[in-house]
Amino acid sequence: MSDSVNRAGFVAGLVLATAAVTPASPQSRAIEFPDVDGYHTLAVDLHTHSVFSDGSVWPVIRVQESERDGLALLAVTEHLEHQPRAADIPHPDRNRSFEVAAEYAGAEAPGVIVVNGAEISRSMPPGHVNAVFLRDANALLRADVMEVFQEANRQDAFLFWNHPNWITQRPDGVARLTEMHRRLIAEGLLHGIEVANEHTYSAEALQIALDYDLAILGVTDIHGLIDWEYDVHGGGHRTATLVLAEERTAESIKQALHANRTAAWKDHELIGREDVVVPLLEASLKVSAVRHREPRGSVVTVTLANGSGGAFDLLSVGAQRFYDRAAVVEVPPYGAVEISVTGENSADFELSFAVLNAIVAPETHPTLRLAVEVPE
Amino acid sequence: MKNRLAIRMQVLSFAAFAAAMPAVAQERAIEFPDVDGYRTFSVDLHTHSVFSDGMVWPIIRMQESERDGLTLMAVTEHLEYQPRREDIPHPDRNRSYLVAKEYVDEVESDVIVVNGAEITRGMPPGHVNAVFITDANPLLVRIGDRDPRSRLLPATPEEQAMSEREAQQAIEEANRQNAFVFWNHPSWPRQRPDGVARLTDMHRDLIADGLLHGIEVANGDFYSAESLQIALDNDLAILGVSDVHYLIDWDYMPHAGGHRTVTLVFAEERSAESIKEALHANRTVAWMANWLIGREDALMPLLEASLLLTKVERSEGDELIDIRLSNVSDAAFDLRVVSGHRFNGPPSTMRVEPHSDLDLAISGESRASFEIAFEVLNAFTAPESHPTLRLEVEVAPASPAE
Repeated sequence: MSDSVNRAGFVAGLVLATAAVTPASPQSRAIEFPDVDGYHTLAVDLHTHSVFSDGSVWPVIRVQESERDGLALLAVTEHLEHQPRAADIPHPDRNRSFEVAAEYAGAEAPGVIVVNGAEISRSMPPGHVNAVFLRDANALLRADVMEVFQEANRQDAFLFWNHPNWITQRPDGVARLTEMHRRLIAEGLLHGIEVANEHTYSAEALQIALDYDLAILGVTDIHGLIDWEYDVHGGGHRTATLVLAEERTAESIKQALHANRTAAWKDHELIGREDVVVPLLEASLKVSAVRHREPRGSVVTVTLANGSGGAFDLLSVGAQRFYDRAAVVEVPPYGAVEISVTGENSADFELSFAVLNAIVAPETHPTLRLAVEVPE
Repeated sequence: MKNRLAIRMQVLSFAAFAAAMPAVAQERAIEFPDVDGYRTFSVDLHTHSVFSDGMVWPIIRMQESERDGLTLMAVTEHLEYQPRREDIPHPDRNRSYLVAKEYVDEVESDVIVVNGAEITRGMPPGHVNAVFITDANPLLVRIGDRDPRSRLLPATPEEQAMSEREAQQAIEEANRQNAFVFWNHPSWPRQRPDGVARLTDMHRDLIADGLLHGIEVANGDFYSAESLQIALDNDLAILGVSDVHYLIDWDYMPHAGGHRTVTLVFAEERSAESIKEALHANRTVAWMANWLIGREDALMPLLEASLLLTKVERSEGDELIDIRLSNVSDAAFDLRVVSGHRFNGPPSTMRVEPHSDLDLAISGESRASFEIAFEVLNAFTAPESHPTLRLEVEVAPASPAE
């Protein structure tokens, strides 16, 4: 008995002895937004690759990156039809990448929920489509793409259109629906769309989401390393989807995705429906103090505190004028700024800002309204 | 009254050093100056990918090496330990090298990649790397049809004897391929529970027969004083390696001033052949967690090239002598003055930060020509032994008094 224990220990030790010498704090780069009324705000990435398709890492690294980035959920979505490593990795069971990741997460990273997925990788239409929350990826290996959609939906998957603006398939970079997409949406077989993929954004994809009642998504589509694609040590963050879910479970997150309670978070831009983005902004940016700037005057100094990891750029659109700035307020992550309001004589008033790095429709910024009560 | 800053740190313009480097590499590339007669190259001779128990496709290893400014990297998968074989059957043990080489050729990488293998055995001989090999497959010696794990951890004297026979043949084959062969992590607690490296008769025979050429004195984040002594006593090359399995970025935090464990090699030219020659000639220094570990004859020229006396002048208005030590390397040097000199400023120990200057004002020195000597505390030439850097100071005659 001791012999078999020793052997197992030896084998494990080969890696462990030289693993992470000085791990950085997993939290230091975590994506964090406050919860909003009744919901947890959870960051998820629904589009990732490993060596089991054309990615460059073993799935364990994807889980470790997710842990460092503070993701609640990671979907493993290898290409079904694109297997450039087949000569080295025959990959007969297309659930394998998920199993490797889930096994590691179960043992070492309980904070990250790993769900099975697949990237249906076809020419346009339909282009590339992810199916996540799958039970069996092998069943999606079918020639007829409509059958693939039907099978994924039979498994109660959440399906979304990937990078509809991808230059390889849309040379002008403009996302456009085809008849096939309209049919898939009409039949309830397609549920979301990538508005942000890695460092790209598609205004047309956002409009399609709004017009056709699809979930607005941001994903990394990571193939290399998150640390190299995003400036995670210099204030940058991976592209992700913020999901407003009742609980931190796969089922609850899936439900929230189907209910379109999502916003894409890309390069410090927040992209989503108004009914999601505005509550997120209101939960993040709060008036934390109000005082008179000087005892002898009536100038009111308002402290605006940011409880999120996002930096926000605000442009005043209300009637107020300011003592200390023209119109623009930059609120750093977890920081606070003071704004001094002139010529305001009422005991309570409202500040209104267009949030310039938030988008609720193409070219449309949401308005953040902050009630201010001036103390006696 | 003269306002004197006895100690001033002046960070040289980083742009001056980095201007010629690729955009990505410049912030973390390992940089040490060339030494008299040789170029200084950083190499990593011990790395893993998914083709054994590492966590990345080989191209990530090459991209890390590019970012770290390595001149050469060896691909050294475990031969006998293949935990991914269910997913990666790996019938050709050169495959990891070939994937890396294809990348290097395709992007015209500056990094030289060489083929290698980790002969992975119970002790003795433990784990042994063979690098600069031409074919990894014949190094996987399997006599008979035994449980593969009996090679990793032989359970009986018979299994151990068989494993040693196989390992001997593998090492002989590597030498037939003109490989450079070295003993990995001899102090690894899995094989040396007390963490002390000790030679066995098998190692002594391998060395005597010229089949074993180097030893890891630094592996990842651990150092072995006994390995250093073994290197000195047995004329083996002193090596530092990462043995990376996960990501260099996470193991060493190069974005926050850390560096991967490497070997600095003093070679005539930037080629695999020249670097191999330098390894066989023991012209190496291990660099680990800011410690420089090497033979005195390899280390001293590096220290002399890294720490330069760039200013000597008699201070105006008093009799102090102003000197400037310029560090043109990536190492932060911890110095202790041992020539009896005192300073108008720091006490006897001081640090010279990477690519920075340290200004010192020497007090009580009336000679125009003298030697100032510093023990270099972050460098080792033998266990517990620091080298001494001696700098000749020539003070120009004072300008005529007013």
